[in-house]
Amino acid sequence: MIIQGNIVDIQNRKIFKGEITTENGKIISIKKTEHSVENYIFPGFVDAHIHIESSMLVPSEFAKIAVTHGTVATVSDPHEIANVLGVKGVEFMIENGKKVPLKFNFGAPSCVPATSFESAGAIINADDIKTLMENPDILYLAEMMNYPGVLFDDDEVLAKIKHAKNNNKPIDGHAPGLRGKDATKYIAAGISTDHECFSFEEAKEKLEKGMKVIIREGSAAKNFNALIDLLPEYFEHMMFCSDDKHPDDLLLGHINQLCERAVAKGIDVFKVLQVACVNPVKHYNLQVGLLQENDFADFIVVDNLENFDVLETYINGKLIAKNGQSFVQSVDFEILNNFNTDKKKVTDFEYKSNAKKIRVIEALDGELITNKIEVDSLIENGNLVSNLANDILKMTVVNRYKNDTPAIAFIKNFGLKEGAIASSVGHDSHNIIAVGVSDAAICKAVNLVIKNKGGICAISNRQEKIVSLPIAGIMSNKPAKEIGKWYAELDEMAKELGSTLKAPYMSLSFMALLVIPSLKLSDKGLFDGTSFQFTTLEV
Amino acid sequence: MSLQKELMVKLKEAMKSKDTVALESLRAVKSAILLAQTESGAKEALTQDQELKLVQKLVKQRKDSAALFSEQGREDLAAPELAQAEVIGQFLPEQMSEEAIKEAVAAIISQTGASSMKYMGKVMGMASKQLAGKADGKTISVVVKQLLA
Repeated sequence: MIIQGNIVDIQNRKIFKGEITTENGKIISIKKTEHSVENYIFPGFVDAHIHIESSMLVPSEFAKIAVTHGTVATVSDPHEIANVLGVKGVEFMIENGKKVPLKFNFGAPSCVPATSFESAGAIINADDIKTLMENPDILYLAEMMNYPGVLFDDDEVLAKIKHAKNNNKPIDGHAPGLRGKDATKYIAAGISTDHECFSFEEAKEKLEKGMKVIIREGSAAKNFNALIDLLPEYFEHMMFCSDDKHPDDLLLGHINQLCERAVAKGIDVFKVLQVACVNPVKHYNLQVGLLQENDFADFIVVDNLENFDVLETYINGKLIAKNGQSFVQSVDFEILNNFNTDKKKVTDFEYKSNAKKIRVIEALDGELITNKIEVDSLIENGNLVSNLANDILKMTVVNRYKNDTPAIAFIKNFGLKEGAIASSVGHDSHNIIAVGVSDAAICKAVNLVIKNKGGICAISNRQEKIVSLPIAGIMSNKPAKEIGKWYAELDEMAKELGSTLKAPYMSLSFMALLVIPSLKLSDKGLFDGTSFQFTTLEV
Repeated sequence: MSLQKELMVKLKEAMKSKDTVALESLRAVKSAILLAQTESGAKEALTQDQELKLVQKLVKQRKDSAALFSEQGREDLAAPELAQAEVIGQFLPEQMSEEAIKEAVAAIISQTGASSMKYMGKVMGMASKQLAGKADGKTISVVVKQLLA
């Protein structure tokens, strides 16, 4: 195949009219030629850190959409499925990803379970990490969230790091806000990237200490505006990532959007493309072409270097997407799950107490952190219940891996005036999490999720809606377009029930994420993230 | 369908048909939304009202440029601006006729008891709010002036 255009040589900072000849998936020559084609050709985009599971799509369906935005590869941490299914889940992602052209590059999740204060579906210990690191399909040790473990020389953590080093595989970081001597020690342990920086100063310090900083802009956390001004100076040491990308967002764009925004800010296009296309390939040693002779023929075609609307995407010399249409085909796969709890009774959600004051989680719109507040309780027949007048709603986390008593808490700011919402996407252990106006509504929503063996749902007096997520209870077996539409409908229903949050299901999914303070709920009880220990509902 | 999704669909069509006027126009809208949505502080999707205002602004910019070019006898430059304004204008609700605007403004005047130009500001304020997206500010102000004179 021969393809002509303006060839963007990112590394030598030049653009020339030329043609590329490919054969057997590789570029065999790049020549300067005269022609009238005005399109631009450059290496494809790489998302340098993404949990594919957050798109609620399996890798093969994720690929279908991502290639239309010019994404040719991802660096992916299968942390979510690993919390449900362990190494088996990681293998599922690898096998499913291999069936489509997009180049998924998976790492070994380093922190499963995320804490010992919750019930996850699996454990990945240092021995498992050793096996994974020896697997050629695993390219790196994924985000080391347990930074206290690194700082305090935890044996298990250090063993995991050692296994990555023994196999010459990079180690990804996760250390939001870590500065000074602690940051130095964390980096000296061999951790080479961080995608959690949220301030300019923090990212600059980490860059100066030799770390690579990945600018994250996803559906949940957004750090582009805070960090982008570092790019002109540190472009050799930065990358772009989404971390979490919801299905409706993925339909609108991917790394191409970040390039458009960076170029609109006046940043040199060669630097932007180096960050978006070149740096991840070099850092993680990906088998992805960079538009050089003998490279894999992975590249994209656009008609200008401002908008980055992708005309064509090529992977291994094959046209995979053209003008927004994807040629990636759906594939068959086995449905894997780990859902072992029976239906609950309304009385399971009762909380017998005569406490006058209770500790309540205050959710903050658009934030992962919560506040800890104390309010007067509302008691009916000795049972603590939701107080709609003050927007204090009952919330539960139900262990989905075995039959256990649901954990109960109360939460402010969800705003529901009717019914309940529930989800089996509950970071990081993915137990069932629900908020509702009454025990009966909560029970109905939880049981709907259990009946479907995973999903996100809303129920009212008149109707119930669910997007079922049969794969590990966190991913769908349907295409993005359907999921995007259903997700939007469910979001609307939650708002009709009274929720005033911008993204109620996203907020819900983070209310069990114990590592982010202040007050969260695990399936084992109310957890104070500041003192890092369980606390009581009664004050 | 949300404006952004509608844009993506139309953009794909324009890419396929190589319609450069449509492509440029649609990209201008897509880009404006992306940048507005992600500027400091803005965390979530724009509201329908914000989107509408943005689209109106883009149409107005093009119409204003076309008018300037026409004044200078540069119809060759004015034409593409108008063509783009037309493509972008399709995302606005159907524009009201002058008659319909007059009717709406007259109703506001009687409702407020406005009787002279002194009330121009008040009537304008209410009319622009009520007719947002369906009529441009300039036409509304001409009608208000006429009816209050």
